[in-house]
Amino acid sequence: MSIYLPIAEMPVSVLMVLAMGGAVGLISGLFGVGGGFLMTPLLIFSGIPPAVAVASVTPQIVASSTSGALSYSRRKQVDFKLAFCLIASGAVGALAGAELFARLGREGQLTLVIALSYTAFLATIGGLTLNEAVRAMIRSRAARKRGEAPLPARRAGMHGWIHRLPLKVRFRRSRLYISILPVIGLGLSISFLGTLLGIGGGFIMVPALIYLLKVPTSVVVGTSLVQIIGVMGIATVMHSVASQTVDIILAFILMIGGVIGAQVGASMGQAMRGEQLRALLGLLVLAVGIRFAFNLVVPPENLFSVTVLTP
Amino acid sequence: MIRLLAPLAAILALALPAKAERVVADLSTGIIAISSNFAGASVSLFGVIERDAQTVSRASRYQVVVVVTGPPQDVLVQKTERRFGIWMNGAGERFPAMPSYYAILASEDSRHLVEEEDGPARGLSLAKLGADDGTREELRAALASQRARLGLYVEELDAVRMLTPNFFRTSIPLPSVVSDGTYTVTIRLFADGVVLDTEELSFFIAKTGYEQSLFDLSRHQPLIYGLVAVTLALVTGYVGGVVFRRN
Repeated sequence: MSIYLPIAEMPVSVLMVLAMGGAVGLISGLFGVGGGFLMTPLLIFSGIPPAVAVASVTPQIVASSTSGALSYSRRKQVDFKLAFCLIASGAVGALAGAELFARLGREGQLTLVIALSYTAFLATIGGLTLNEAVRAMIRSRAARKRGEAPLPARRAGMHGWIHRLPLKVRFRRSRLYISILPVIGLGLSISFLGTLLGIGGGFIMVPALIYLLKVPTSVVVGTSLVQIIGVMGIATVMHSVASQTVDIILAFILMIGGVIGAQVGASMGQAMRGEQLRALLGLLVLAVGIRFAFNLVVPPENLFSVTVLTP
Repeated sequence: MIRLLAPLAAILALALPAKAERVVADLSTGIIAISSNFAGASVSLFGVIERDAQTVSRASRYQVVVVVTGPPQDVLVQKTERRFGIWMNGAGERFPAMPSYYAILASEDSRHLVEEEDGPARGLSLAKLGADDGTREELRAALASQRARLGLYVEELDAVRMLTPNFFRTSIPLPSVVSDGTYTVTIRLFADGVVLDTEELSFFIAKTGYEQSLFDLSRHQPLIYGLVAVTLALVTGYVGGVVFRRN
């Protein structure tokens, strides 16, 4: 069964898109990640124009973050003040990201920038995650051999300079009294990247909140989810206005698949150990990064690219 | 302007001696709807060649060349080059007002009209589409071949069938990726390498139903479209969370 996408202006198979949404939803439920960084590449590799893929994944990320955010909020594990500060600064980043995105589209360089950014980005994140997970596995195995309880991973040292910055603000729920400047910086840069690449950025935001700002782990995930909803919601509107590439039909099918897949994934994830999950995720991310790199290095089948400027 | 000239042209046409041969043609449909399961379409064209009583019949046969042109688009074509070890697009060239769809369909024995360098229909061939001074021939040819692969540019020089010497039919193949808008169909009647008559028809491709509403909204009210997308996402996420809530 195929359905015509009004913005992409092409027919796609409903089942294929549903399956992609489901597969990424499953992975996101399994690993506790948003999945935008897998969904966008998957759409691109399956023939959806990169511009439509990136812009249509943004509302899908909103949908997939909503149910999680609601349940964290019910358990009072969201620092709304911190989330609001991140979203407010993120709006500026999203505006810049959508503007650059539209401009790159007009210059015919969007595909290259997306491929380059994804390669760099996924290779780094995948490598770091895999490295950390493998180390943790070796550590716990060694500890078990010695008959001790596995030691928790060493926490990164205090980043003193961040806490010496001016313009301090109190975030009551996080029990923090910190400068607003790193919060603004974080919100701005992650939303810029997220808008440009069609990713929520939770997997950068969460470690950044924990290690840089020392936000307590109990509120980190909920706050990050609320931040993702805000920023990706703004990004959806900005993409709709700046480049008009958000395809609601595509996004909606992805949402349905994603919501179902996430439930399956979440129940599967409970049966697996943390380090193994992280190692698997690292491998997966690395593989997608390598796939992008492959496209950049191998001579393309078609040496010419055609971009329609005025439909 | 054209509207003002039309009656004038009609009067002139009456005053002049009638043309010896005339093409009368019609299309199987005037409007094609792109609905959710649109998978391409085909429009049939039928035509007869009318001869008035005074005209003596020709020894040679008639040839028909049909050209179909879709709504124009500005197009950027770039060559992918290897720089710093990776493949990236060069600056490229802009081609203004290129037809989004182009088909040249001709009757069997009219190949020479189109293919020979000095043929009277040479200018209509795909090889000449968008050609100007020849400096950007490589990019122009790449555009034509990319569109030909998608079925958007068609050159079939035996697609017009002469059912009798005076009666012809053909079908215009439209792939699923066609743009919406007005398509013009120009039928040229040739004999002995000379154009005897030209007839122009048109048909319309339109998105219908929700495809049309969504597309229009995204172009004319992008802000509202974006807000609709976000609302849909929030509602879907919320409903999904409620349906699958486990506790």
